Formats: sequence, C-alpha cells, structure tokens
Amino acid sequence: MRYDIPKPLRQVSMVLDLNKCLGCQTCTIACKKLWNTDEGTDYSYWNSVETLPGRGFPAGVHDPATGGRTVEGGVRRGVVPNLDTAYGRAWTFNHEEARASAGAPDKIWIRPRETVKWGPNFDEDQGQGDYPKDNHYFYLPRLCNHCTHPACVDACPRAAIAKRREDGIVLVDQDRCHGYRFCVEACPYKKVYYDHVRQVSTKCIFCLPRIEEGVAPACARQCPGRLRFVGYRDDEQGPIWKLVEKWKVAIPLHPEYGLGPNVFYVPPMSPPKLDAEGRPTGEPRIPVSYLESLFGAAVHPALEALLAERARRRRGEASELMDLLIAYDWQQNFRLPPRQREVLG
Amino acid sequence: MNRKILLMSAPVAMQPGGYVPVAYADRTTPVTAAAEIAVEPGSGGWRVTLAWACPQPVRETVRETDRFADACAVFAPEAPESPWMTMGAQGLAVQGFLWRADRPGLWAIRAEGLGTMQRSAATGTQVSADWDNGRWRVVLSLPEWPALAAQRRVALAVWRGGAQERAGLKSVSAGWVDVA
Amino acid sequence: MTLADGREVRVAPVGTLLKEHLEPWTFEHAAQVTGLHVEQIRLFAEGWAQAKRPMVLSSWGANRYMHSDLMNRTKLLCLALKGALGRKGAGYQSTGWVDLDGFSNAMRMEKSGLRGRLAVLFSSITPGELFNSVLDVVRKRKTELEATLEGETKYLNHKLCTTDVVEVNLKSPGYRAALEREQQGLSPRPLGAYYDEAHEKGWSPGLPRKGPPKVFFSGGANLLRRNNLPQYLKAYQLDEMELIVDVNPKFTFTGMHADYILPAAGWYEKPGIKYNVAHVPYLHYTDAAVPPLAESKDEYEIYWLLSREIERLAKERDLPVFDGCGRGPIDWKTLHQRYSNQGTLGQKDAEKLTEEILRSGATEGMTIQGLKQTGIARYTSTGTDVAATSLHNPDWKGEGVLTTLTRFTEHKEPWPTYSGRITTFIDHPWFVEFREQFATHKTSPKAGGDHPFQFVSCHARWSIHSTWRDTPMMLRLQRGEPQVWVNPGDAERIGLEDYAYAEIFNDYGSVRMRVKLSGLVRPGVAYYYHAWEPHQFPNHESYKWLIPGLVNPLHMAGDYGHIRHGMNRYQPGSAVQDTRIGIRPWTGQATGAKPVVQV
Repeated sequence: MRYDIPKPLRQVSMVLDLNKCLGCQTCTIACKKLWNTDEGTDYSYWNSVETLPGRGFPAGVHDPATGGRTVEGGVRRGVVPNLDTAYGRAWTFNHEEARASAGAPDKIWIRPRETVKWGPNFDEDQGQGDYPKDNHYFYLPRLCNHCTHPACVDACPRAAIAKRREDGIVLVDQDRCHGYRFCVEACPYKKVYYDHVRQVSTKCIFCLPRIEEGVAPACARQCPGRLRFVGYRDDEQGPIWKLVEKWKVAIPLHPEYGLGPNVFYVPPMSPPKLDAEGRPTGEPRIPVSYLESLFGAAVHPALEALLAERARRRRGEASELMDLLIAYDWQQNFRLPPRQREVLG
Repeated sequence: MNRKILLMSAPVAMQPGGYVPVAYADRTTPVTAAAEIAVEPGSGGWRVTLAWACPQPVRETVRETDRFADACAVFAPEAPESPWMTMGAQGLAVQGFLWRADRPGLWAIRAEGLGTMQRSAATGTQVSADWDNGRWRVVLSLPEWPALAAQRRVALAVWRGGAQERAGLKSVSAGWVDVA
Repeated sequence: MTLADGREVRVAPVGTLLKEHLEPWTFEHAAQVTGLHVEQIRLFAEGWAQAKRPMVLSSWGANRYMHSDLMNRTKLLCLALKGALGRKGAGYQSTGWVDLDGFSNAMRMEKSGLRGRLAVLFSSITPGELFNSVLDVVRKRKTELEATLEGETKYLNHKLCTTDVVEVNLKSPGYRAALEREQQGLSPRPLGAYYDEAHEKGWSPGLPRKGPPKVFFSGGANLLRRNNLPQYLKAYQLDEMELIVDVNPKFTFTGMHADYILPAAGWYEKPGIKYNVAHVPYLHYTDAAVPPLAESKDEYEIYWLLSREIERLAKERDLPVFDGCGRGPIDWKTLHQRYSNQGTLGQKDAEKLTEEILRSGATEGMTIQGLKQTGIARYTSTGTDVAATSLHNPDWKGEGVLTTLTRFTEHKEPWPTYSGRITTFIDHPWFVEFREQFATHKTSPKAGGDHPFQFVSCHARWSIHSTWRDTPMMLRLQRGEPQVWVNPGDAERIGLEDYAYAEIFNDYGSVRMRVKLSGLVRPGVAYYYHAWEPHQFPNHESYKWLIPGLVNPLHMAGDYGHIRHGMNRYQPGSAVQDTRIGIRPWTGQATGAKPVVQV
C-alpha cells in the first residue's frame, strides 16, 4: 500500500560542482560537528565525500545490489550496511596510554583500539588507472537528496518519515520511529543512518533551522571550494534553476532509481589520457562511460555544454554559465529568503 | 494451559508503504513454524510463558547497525471485534506486551491498526528469558490485564532477529488463541 | 676590453651568456631528464608562450629540495622572459606578507611613548645612524628602499634575538658531523667549510651567544616533532637542557618530553587575528566562542604572568643585565614592564593588544567590534612598516587585485640587485664555485643512502601541521595511523598489501607505517602527508628519524646584491624531499632508528 506523498509547495535544492571539489572534507566536519556527535551516530556522516572510482561510503553504495530500487526504478530488497565492513566503526584511540609510555622502554603508539576494516574515507585518492597514462579519480560529496519520491518515506511502515510541505525537506519523526531500518535498507544512496544507541533513524535535515533563517546549510557555507549552490528549484533568478533547467549541466546522481533527487551535480571534466608514448590524447582521463554509470545519459550533453562554454570563455567571450560556476560573488551561490520559523516538538 | 500453536508468516502484502510488501514478498513461509504458549493466572495477574525454536539467538544489538534482536509479543483484543491480523483497527485496539532480547524489561504495547503501535514502559511486569538448546523460553509476569480478563484470548508474534525479522516481518498465530 | 690596470678581459652581455647556457636545453633534452614526452613539454611551452598573464604560485612547499632555488630561479626566468613580474594578474605569487606595523606597538620597547615604525627604528639604530640614512636618501645616494632594507637587515641580524633551525642544529658538533657525513661530495668543499666561512665573514651571522643554552622554551611550535633527525637534536641538545617548557594548546611530542606544559587556550577559546599572504589580502579574526578549558589560558596571559614572575625574581635577586644571545643587553628587571607596555596592558588585555596592532596602515578603520561582526576585513594597504617591502606595491589601497613588485615595474625603481635590474645571473664566488651562476638542472642527491624510493613530504590535509593530527575525528577520516602512499604497481611488485604495515628503511634505520595505495603517486616515489606525531609510530620514532634534511651551503652566502641573510628572507632551510628510502612488507621484524653516532 503506497503512501500518497503530497507535492511540497516549494523544493529546496543543492547543486555541487564536482570540478571544484578538492576533497578537503570541510563539509563533512562542518556537518559532523553540528549534528552528529552523539554516541549512537558516531559512525555516521550525513555529509560524506567519496573518492571515485572507489567503493564509496558506505562501501558498496554505488553497487545496485545494495539499494532498495532496481535500475528500472522498481522495488527490490536492499541491504542494511554493516558497521565494520560498510560504514567503518568510529574507532577510539589510546592517547593516554601512548603519552604515559613516553619514558618507558616499551612505547605504546596512538592507534585505533578496534580492528580497522573500513572507514568513511578509506579508499581516499586510490582511484583507477596507471600513472601517468590514465590514472584518475575525483571527489563526490554526498548528502541526502531530499528526493521527490523518497525511498525512505515509502519504506517506513510507521509513516515516520515525511517531506515538509514548505520546502520538501525529508525528515524523520524520531518519536514515531521504532528503528526498524527499512528506510536504511531501501535508500539506494544510503543516506539514512541508524542511531545505535537511541535506536532510531537519523538523516540530513538540510540544516532546516538555518534554511528557515535564510542561511545555507553548514556543508555549503563552509565549503572552501565554493562549489555548492543552494536555493529553490522554482526560482528562475536563482542558481539552481539556471544550472539544472536552463543550462542543464547539473544532473542527479543515479537517476535510474527514479527517486527524483533534489541534489544535483555538475559532472567532472578531466585532463587527457596519454598514449603509450606519453603523448596527450583527445580522450578524457575519467571515462565518460564511468560517469554515465553514476549520472546516466544526461552526462553527455552536460559535459558538452561545459566544454563549449569553457571554450567560449577562453576565447574571451562572455559566458553566464562559467561566471556562475566560477562563483565570483560567492553570496550569489545561495538564494534563500528567510521564512517564518517553524516551532518543532 | 500449555499449547503448541502453529505460526504463519504475517502477510507482508498489507504492510504500509510501497517498499516492504514488494521487497519481502518472498516471505510466505513462517521463519518460526511454531510456538508454545501457556497463559496462567499468577499472583494478582497473569503469567504468560512463550517458547519457540531459534537456532542462533540474537541478544545484542548495541553498537551495530544491521543486527535485529529476537523478540516476541502477546496481545489481547480490547473489544470483541478487534481484528488480530491488522493489530487492531481504529476504535478497536489491541494491547499487550513486547519483549526484545536486547532489552532488560518489557514494553506495554497498544495498536489500532498496522503501523500505529505505541510502546511504553510496562510497569509492574517482570520478564525472564532463557535460550537453551536451540529454544527461547520467555516468562512474562504480568499485573492485572483487563483486556485479557474480559476477552479471554490472545494472539502472539515471534521475531527471529537473525533472519532480519522486525516490524511486520514476523511469525504470528493464525488468529486469536482462546485462553481457558 | 682593457681594464685600468692594463689587464685584458673578455666581456659578454649576460643575455648572450644566458642564451648560450640555455642552448643545450632543447625540448628533447628536457624530455630525457624529466621522463615526460616531448609533446607534453611542447604543449606546456606553447601555452606559456601564448599566455597573456602567466602566474606561478610558489609557496613554502616549493623550497624543500636541495636544489629548490634552482627550480625557483627557473620559474622566475620563465616569468621574466614573459615580462610577467610586477604585472597585474601575472608574476610570482609566493609569500609576500601584508605587514601590520601595529605589531611594533606591541613589541617590547625601551623607548616608551613611541609607536610603530619609529619605535622599531629607534630600538635598532642610533639617532646618528638614522640622520645619516635620511641624508643618503635626500641626497639620492640611496633609494628609500635601499636605506630601509639596510635598516631592516641590521635590525634582523644584529638586534633581534633570533636564529633558525639549521643554525641550531649545526651548532651541535654531533648533528654537524652527521650532516657533513650525509652531504659528503655534494659540494666542492665540506658543508662545515661554508658554515665557518659564512660566520667568519658575517654573511650568516648565527647567534653570537656566549654559552650553551640551558633552557628550552617552546611556544607555538613542536620542534621535536618537526626537526629532521630529532634523535641527534635530542642527544646533542635537548638532553643537555636543565629545563624544558612547552606552551601549547595541544599535548605534543615536544610536550611529552618537557618538564612543564603550560596549557594554552585552544582556537575559539581566545581572540586572535591572522594576517595573510598577498593573494588573499584579508585580515581574519577569530573570536573567543567559549572560555578556555580548565587551567588553560590565552598565550598572551601566560607570558604576561610569566614575565611578571621573572621580573619579580630578577628584582629580588638583583640580577645583572644579561647579554644572553650576544645582541645587546636584556634587563630582566624590566621584563614585565616592557611586556605590559609600561603597565598599560593588564593580564586579560589580549584584545587591547590587538587594538594596538590594528593601528596599522594596512588596517585603517578596522575595529575589534567590527571584526567580531564580519570575521574578515580587507586590508587597506600593504602596510607602512619596513617589511611591507616584501610586497613592493606602494599604490594598492585595498581595491582590486594586489599586484606585487610594481615598485620596480610601474614605478621604475631599481630592483635590489647588483645591476638594479631583474637578473638571472649571480657571480657570487660561491655560486661560481657551484657553477650555479645561471639556473640549471641538478639531480636530486640521494639523502639517506642509495635506496629505490624518493620519499616525498606532502602538506597534511587533515590537520594544521600537528594540530589536530591525532584528533580522533580527523583520524577517522583517514585510517587511524601514519600512512605511506605508494603506487599500486610498486606495491604489487614489492608485495605490499593495502593497509598492512610496511617497514620504511634507509641508512638511518627503519620505521613502520601503514601502506596506502594511490594512483596519484608516481612509481618510484613514496608520499607521506606530514606532521604525524612521533608517538603515533611504533617506538615513538617517526619518518623524521630517517630524514637528514640537507642544507644547501649557498643559503649561507651573503654580501652580494640581493643575496644577504635575513630572517624569512634569505636563510638556510632543511631540505627533506631528496630523502631516499626502501620499503618492504613488515612481517614482525624489529624496526627502529640506528643509534646516534658519537663524535
């Protein structure tokens, strides 16, 4: 029995330009310090940054076998990721013992107490290919997509997850939640987490109290690369509409699941591969077929538009798109009129 | 009274939301085929004993994300017409007790249909649970239970955590079980 | 041509010499040396030739090879050939600092009541010298810049009690012997010969202190973590100390080996400003968001209390005036008087001090209250103090791009070189001896022995140096322990498994690190991201125990145009990137640094 998910009045949205992400994880820490310092969410990252090609976070997230949707958009049974092998346990450390052993003959060094199997950034910078011919990787920052048809909402037998009417932010009602984790299992993006102490689901709230004040989420505000744009999808003066609808360079991750993500990515261009003799070829280092496996067929026109506009700018011609992506005026990355603050609880 | 009850797989097709009915459509045979139940008057209340086979118990879920604890529940209708299969209906509640292997005490539960179950601390109750030789045996010492006293019947549910059972993924009695 | 003394000499313009010098450096030759395809080099060269505004961003990291200055001179040559230096949007961006002359207000001043530049000048030169200097400028015997540079050099080299790490290391006979052994054959004469000559001639003044130091007082640093071959520093210097104190917001490795740790307040527990490099011309302000934890205090307060106590004891014992570092008298009986600016700065007056610093030419109109609101503010000029000359833009008033070096381009003042022009040619006797009159290529020496991997230090991305390097939250975004980054092909060849321990070894012994595979690493190179604390390694010995830190003797040269010693201007560094190591799987064998060689 499917739920009727009412269309929100407006939909808040984010665009991330992958050509500018430097993998610094400032967004990760900005989010983590703000929202996820509880014992039960120690392992979780509402915002994470993956190195791709790679296993992602949680490991296997880009493998269609882990999500609760088929690549045709149908429902299939997903996987609840394991703490050790998929998320990575939040290791604890032995600083005190290490310091105490400074003068002792047997030195104890700072290291995780737990067995390390995986972590949120475990295959950082590993990538693929051979140096210097075609070695490549790029960073993919991820947060909840606040989908138009959220798999998590659909999965909850207790109807504890809902899209907010005002802005389409997807929220878990933790008073209703019984910690069954069907949402964790069903979301192919694996962006619902389980608080293993409070035994309820938790997820990105798109920094809702900030949005209500007209302030962009912490991950976006603190991004030193200025690669994030935040606004409403229907605002034709705003960056989201321009990048998604007008220029069509911002496209969703894994559109094949049919969930209608409201977070969009400007796909990465890459320098040329070298041939066997070491001469630059015309082929990009990051295989377009790989990008297609992430972003679908829309990646082709998006890359073409980017390359064409970049070439225009290089010829000294004007390009609204390039000016927007360069973010000369960073404040313009965010268009969020302040709203009445909702009193929760 | 000590009865062996054959269990059925709770029908997933009627579970709320679009995901569970499809993702778990294959769950047609009960994970736990049978349970024994004994409902006896105790000191000032009731003593309910449930026992069932469970080859690999799951007692601990702390600091894990993908573990589900073994559990069982017993509930009684508040009204004669309260339906068992949907956990009651609006105005026709069911109520009872829920034990989960990773918690010390019991929850009192009350529901008026699927997805509406409310859990609260079950005051005045005691529970002892033992797993031995492939079987759980759970003894609930309960205070006065007006619904049971009035309707004289219960339904029961068993969850095997090792098979990822939780919520509507469970083995249940095929209807109310009369209590003598 | 014939000289006055009748000798005949051959004369050639430097440009002709340069052309001759560059003649053999064809694309094909460069391809052979670099391993790049000639087509790649041609593409780069064409791009460079066509670029309207070529710019090189060259930061501190570009100075960590033995031959870094040859690399940097090459970049400057490429820029000079394009006429890019001192042009908007082009040129060389390195580490020009916007100078806050207000710092001088806060510096210890014997002459009370004086502010800024004047106070600094009066504390370093006599009024007579100042008069002569002004006269030189007025009579156009010297440019104002030349006069200022002279005053600055004098202040830095003869007044300020300062030294550098190489100087400290080489002062120790044991360390010096180790480094001389390491650098045998790398220069025409042994390293020590250049060190001695530089000191005799006053090129590299060192610190003319009279006795060996007895107290090691560390603040804003973590020397025992950072120094190369710390085993030598420890054996020959730290173990000799009577007292070691560490003032630090963090429990560092240096702190672990100190007698006292004075806990400093953490960031966001104290107000502070950060000044910035020319390409980010903003002053940054951090407010105290929360009070300091437990007994920790703002460093300003720690030193306020310490100086008060030292002054009290000095008075009580009637200590004489010292000349501890050989650069003039220091009277401890007035230490606190000077620290507190004659009592005008109280124990909690860090903000008041900041206000004094904000009385700078570069920060006009800025107030603490304003900065608390905005967090950042754009500088209003490059500053008026002597060190502002490192930017050399007298016109910039906070608007638009801050272009450096326009003093010599737009204003046509002579460059501070022998020729007064941009020069690629240096005929200082040592440069002649090294055959480095022009920038050229020299292969990286194999420091630490002939081992197959070049061990390259990268700047930490998960910490600010060792601050936060061992913070659990940051370690979880890595793998919890120090890692050596290797190319997957190399790892397979040696039998290294991802995340397994490997033994990293060279002539100084061995350490253990976790293997990290990455396609970004060039085969034959091993990366490490820096600043791991030694107590994050088995035996509490980091890779630093294997890194000799080569010293280029030319950095001690002086008395030649722009080649002259000055703190943060021209001084020897400790080059780490030439270090060679071997890597093998760790299967339980004992690891550790070799014992310090006794002299």
